[in-house]
Amino acid sequence: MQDREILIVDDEKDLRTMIRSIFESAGYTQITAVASGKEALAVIAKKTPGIIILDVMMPDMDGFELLQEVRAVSKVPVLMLTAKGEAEDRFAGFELGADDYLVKPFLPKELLLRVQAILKRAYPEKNRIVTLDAAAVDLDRAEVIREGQRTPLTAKEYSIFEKLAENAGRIVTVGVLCQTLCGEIWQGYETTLMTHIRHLREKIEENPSKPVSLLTVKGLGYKLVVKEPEQ
Amino acid sequence: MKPVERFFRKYFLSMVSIIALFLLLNVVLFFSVQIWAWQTSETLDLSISEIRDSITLDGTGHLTAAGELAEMLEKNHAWAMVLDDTGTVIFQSQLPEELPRRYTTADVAKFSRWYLGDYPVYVQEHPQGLLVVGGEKGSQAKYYFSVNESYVRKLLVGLAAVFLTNIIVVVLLIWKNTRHIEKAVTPILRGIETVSSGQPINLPEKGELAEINRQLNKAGAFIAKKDSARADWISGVSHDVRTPLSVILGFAGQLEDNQTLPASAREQASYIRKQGERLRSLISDLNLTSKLEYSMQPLRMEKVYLVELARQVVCEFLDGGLEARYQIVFDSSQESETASVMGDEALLKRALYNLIQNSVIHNPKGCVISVSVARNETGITVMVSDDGIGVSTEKLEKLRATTNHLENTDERLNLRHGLGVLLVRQIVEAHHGTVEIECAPQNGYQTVLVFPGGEP
Repeated sequence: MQDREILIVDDEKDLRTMIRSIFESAGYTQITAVASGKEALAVIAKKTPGIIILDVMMPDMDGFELLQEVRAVSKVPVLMLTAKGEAEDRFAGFELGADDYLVKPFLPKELLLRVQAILKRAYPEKNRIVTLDAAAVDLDRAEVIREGQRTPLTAKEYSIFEKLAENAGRIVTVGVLCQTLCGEIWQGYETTLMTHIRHLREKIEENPSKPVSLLTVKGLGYKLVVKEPEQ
Repeated sequence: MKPVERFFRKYFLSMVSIIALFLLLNVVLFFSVQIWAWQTSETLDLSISEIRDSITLDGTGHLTAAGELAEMLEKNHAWAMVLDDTGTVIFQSQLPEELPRRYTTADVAKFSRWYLGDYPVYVQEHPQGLLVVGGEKGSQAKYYFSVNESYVRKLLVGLAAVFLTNIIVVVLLIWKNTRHIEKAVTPILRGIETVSSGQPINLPEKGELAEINRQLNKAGAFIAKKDSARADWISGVSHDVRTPLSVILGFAGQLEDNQTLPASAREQASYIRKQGERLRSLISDLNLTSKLEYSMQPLRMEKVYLVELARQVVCEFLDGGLEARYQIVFDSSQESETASVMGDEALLKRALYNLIQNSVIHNPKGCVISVSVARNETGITVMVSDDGIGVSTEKLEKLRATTNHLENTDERLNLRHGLGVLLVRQIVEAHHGTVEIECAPQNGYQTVLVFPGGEP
């Protein structure tokens, strides 16, 4: 993932330097930083980057205009940086096709996590395998690999597991999981969810009644603990 | 509008009482004038009966008067005579020369009512005939009235009716006039109330008081402009601070994570990062609170499930590296699971976030924070409490009294702990909910938010 090209567009020199150093220290090697929309378009014309980090407020051409021009020629993922944090900015950005947005001021970790999440979504790696304590899950084939044995996951189990794996290490609320299971109207599906979770545990846990990978966070939701970031 | 109505009722009553007072004054003055005229005018100082009694028959069959009669008449410029049945003067005293000494029945009839040769006269029966006493010329006014009794009765009733009609008409006119003024003035008074409460104002600029309405509209617009200028200014400043703060936070965060630096330097960087984060939340709170205050924050109302929203906020804390000395317990009732309100998700999240953040900031030694959502008849209740140090009674009073007006908090705007409570109150009130703060020193702190409704 670290070899993806990152294009930073911001008129503030210090901010460009700061963002560049965040990604450099995270191991990214191909970083380009430009100060204006025109320069950015010139860079994109030569080679489409892996992701664009785009400031909304810029002189001569603002982030929204640039996003529009970029979207006309490319589907490259875009993360918008806004100093306003107002709802209108957020919605305007999403309508124009931004993949995510981040309100200034932000912490280096926040930016890094979001960019990584976007990259993961935009460029899914082959052989996505999640390694757990007692088993591994092959996301591409929807199978649990345990002691050399492959057990298939049902469609529902798979969608729940995928959501948890996407947010590995973080709590995924009951509501969010039910929503992935049943769509917009999810209320009242908590028991159904619990059943699927139990089946999942039977497949991935050493001792399903004492889970160590798929944890329950009382009253809130579930959390997946992975051994190492998915490869 | 009670004070305004009371004012006009008082105004009307005072007008009526002015009229009543005016009438009473006139009655008093009229009688005073009568009494004054009666007491100060010269009157005939003679008694007709006395004169009659003093004129008696003597032994010879002639009429004679007591000695003092002539003198008394003289003093009063008066005269007296007695006529017998034939009209002949059989006695006289001081009788002017020009008057005749014989009178016909017609003459008697005439002068007994009016005058005798311009002398006002008074007539009384005497044992020997008719006593006639005359006064000085021009000293008395004599009128003779004879009216039909039913006419008099009708006249009196009519006069009373006229009087009453006058009173009624006057009162009605006053009432109408008062109503007229009230109608013209009430919108202005309402407008002043509106302006003073900080709401936008738009009075029709018509009628006699159009100018005042126009001025009031101008004042309202001026205040609104100042308010929006203030909010814009805060928004502008916070916007301009965001980029430099991003750079500070960004580099501080990197220094903190840089394993090649000595531990003390990394610790110092962590202080910069933490203070920067506080500055960040303060700026966004200030911006949002000023926008809510001046109703410049558009609310994006949608169906919000508060249980799920509360879960997500709590998870944000738990996933966001909450230090181990803090613990968050979440609890929700089964009924609240499906309860939703119409609300702005981002704002409601912010309110809850601020409440949990408050517990964290105020209890640096750590605490257990409980978040619970329940549903009952009144609506959906969201409770955030901790078992920390709480606040003093005075501070609690202040917190409870905190209104959503930025102006009122200028002097005691305690920015050290952010605008947390103020912002929570504004957000909850924008959703027609209520905020209750319960707390005892050293015994935790609890905030209860109640949102009305809560569709199942």
